[in-house]
Amino acid sequence: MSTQTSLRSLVREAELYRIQGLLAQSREKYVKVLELAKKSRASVKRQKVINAVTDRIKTVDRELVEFSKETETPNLPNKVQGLIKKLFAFSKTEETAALEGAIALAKFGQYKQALEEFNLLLTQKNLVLIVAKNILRCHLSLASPQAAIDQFTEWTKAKGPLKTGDLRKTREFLKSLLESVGISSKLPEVSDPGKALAAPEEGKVEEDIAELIPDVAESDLSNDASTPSGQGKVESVDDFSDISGLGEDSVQPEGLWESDDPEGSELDEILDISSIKVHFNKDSLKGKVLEFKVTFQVGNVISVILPSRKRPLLAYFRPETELPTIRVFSPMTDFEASGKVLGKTDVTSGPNKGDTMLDIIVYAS
Amino acid sequence: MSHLTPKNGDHQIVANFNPKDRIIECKIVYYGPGRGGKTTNLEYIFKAFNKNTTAEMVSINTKGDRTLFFDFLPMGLGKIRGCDVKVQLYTVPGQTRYSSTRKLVLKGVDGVVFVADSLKIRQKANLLSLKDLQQNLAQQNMSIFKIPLILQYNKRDLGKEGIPLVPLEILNRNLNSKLKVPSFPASALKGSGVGTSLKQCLLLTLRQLQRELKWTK
Repeated sequence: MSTQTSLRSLVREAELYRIQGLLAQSREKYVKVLELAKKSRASVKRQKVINAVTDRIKTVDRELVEFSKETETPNLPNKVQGLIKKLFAFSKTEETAALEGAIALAKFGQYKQALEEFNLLLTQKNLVLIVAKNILRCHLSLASPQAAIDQFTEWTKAKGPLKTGDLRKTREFLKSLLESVGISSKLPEVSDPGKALAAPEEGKVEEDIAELIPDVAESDLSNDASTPSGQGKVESVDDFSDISGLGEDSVQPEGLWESDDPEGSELDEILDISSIKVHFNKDSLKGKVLEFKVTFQVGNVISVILPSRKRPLLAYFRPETELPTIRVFSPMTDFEASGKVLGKTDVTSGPNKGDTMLDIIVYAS
Repeated sequence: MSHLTPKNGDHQIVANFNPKDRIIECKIVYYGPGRGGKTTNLEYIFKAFNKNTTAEMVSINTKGDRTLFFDFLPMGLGKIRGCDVKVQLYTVPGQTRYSSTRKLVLKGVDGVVFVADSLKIRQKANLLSLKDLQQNLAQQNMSIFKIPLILQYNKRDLGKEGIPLVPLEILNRNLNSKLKVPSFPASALKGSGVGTSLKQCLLLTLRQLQRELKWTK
């Protein structure tokens, strides 16, 4: 094949690929044309070809740049949004279908419309937690983390749609979501209605500590028969489609909606934790160990009782306090872990009246 | 409206069957690598089979005319055994960056037309897209070996223009040696093979549906 024939063939290929939108492949061919042209005998015609191909490569480069900028999701017309809601709702029940429709809108980047739909669904009691999480996700996807925080704050204040338990879960969820985008923010506490907890005097706590915690890890168990700890599941924080019981699969990431692991939304089984030992390794408590029996468990969040006679220790269990060294005991095994205090509640009735219940989230090391 | 679900993992049909109104609705998805001709398939079907389409084709594209979310085309096939058969045709975005959208569009699929690109330079893209389909189906507890599937080898017309294409037998060997599904050459731009591909996919899908309906009786 002569050089001229080869050149024509390559140019035809390059141009076809460009028209077809195969820009990288088109550029590759044009570069080959340029190389071939440069190798041929010098002539006026050769220079014309080189100039023309060089211009064409620049055109392809511009198109490549435009293609790389095509990341913004357009706001779709109402008609198309309505179609999305209809086409991607598979459930037979009206309210779940409405939820699926709203989730589909969010997955297609129609966050504002999705927010409207989710807010309408907040009245559905059995969906309220999922809806709340998706509302917060929408705000973050709209690059409005403050709006998400403000929304959560609003829910904690008013006699809102979320119960205390749901608020706690939503708080933890929002915290994880904010951390995943590099935002560290103080979120309002979620506590039961009732009397506020009096903060212990700092100085007095230090003096009494040695009397409150023995050096040897000795059981500090409540005498009360505990509520059986529940087996829970860690909830996915990344997926718009975590509809309980519908067995949704994880969606591959595009921004906030996705985890890097395509199977990241699989729910993990959590061990039944029967008790924990908290090791103190700084300040005046260094070397001391405090054991708690777990009275309640949901997922990896446990509740333990701090007796009233050990009230001064509350200073070490303020909400957000990190507990770097915890020994976790379950019927099957024990292991090292860490944790954080999520909240504390005064026990106002029953055998533990006057004691304090601490909620602690446990992370396996 | 009952929702036929797979039994023992053997069957893939999740078509909607309304026994009261005797309406069957099934979903066919056009899958394949980016720029392979999925949207062109639907555009041709919309033009050529206009009598059967029940609404306008909806396309959600980028500025560069690439499918951003999906294309959608509803069709009615008339009555089969006393039941009104309605088909919804979808395409997925082929670009690798739109993976999550593909999963969403694939949900509830009853049949697939895999539009393979015959261009020599796109063979790797074909394989990756087929693998992507297999994985996404698996995530819905579906097997690529059991779902009604046909392979369309598109852009065959470009061979006449001197553009390097992969011969059909090699395409079949690379993509179909394990699947062993019906395959058809096509040129979506010119329309050849488009109707055949769709009809064959519908045939496979409805046959599977018929088997399901008998078993649920």
